[in-house]
Amino acid sequence: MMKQSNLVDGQLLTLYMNGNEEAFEELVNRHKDRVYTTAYLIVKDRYRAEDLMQETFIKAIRTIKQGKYNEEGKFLPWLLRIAHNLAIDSFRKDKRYPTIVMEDGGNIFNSLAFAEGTFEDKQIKEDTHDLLKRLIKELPDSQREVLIMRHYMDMSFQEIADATDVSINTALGRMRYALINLRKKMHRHGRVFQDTPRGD
Amino acid sequence: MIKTFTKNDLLRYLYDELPTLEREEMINAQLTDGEVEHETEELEDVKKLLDGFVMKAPQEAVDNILAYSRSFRR
Repeated sequence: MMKQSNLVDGQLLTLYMNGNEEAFEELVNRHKDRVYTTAYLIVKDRYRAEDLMQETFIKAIRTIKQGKYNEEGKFLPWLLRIAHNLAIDSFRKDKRYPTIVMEDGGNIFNSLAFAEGTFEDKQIKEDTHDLLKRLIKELPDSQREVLIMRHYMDMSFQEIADATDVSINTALGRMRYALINLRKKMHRHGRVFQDTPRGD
Repeated sequence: MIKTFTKNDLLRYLYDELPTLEREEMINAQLTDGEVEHETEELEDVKKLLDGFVMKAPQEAVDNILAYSRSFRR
């Protein structure tokens, strides 16, 4: 029998619809980090992001097990749309009832996923990702929204323009300013992009 | 005739959303225009960082999701 890790999402979904829980486990492990990162970058709080990730998958489980899933072959975009909508709702509620949210604290390095490498490589990457995470949170909402949709939800600029009700040039402009802002802020914090060599 | 690219074209190139012909013209523009090449590299650096940025979902939440799925009756 074919290993589940070799199956595409659509095949895993079919197995899951037929009661195979291991197939669902593979789907969750495959996409959990994207869903969590998307939610985190919208609500900017890791505990809320954790709740939202659970709510997203629970909604997906209910939909699939009740036979209402009809997005054949497009599981991840569907999942990310659920996460995005739940996160936006949650974010809006927060704005209506503002609460003081403590800065994450703790050792956030533990919650970031890194590639293998030397200790020093890892440290540089951890520091860079830590900084990047903070800087993304500081972007204006409109720029952060486009960045999340393009990088984590894999939406094209035209799809983003349609979803946010702006022209494609506005969506492109927001993304460009997001990148420029991030680069400026990284420089201000002394980052010189030595960990992204050319030609790879 | 040399095509003039806008800043937004450059972004569409970076995100692989330019049609093939325009993409090739953009690559040529980078070879001949230092300014275009420089701006492309600057934006590409940040894009690469973002491409590699993903947060690890907490295992406890994953366990909860899987337990919920196993207990859910159709």
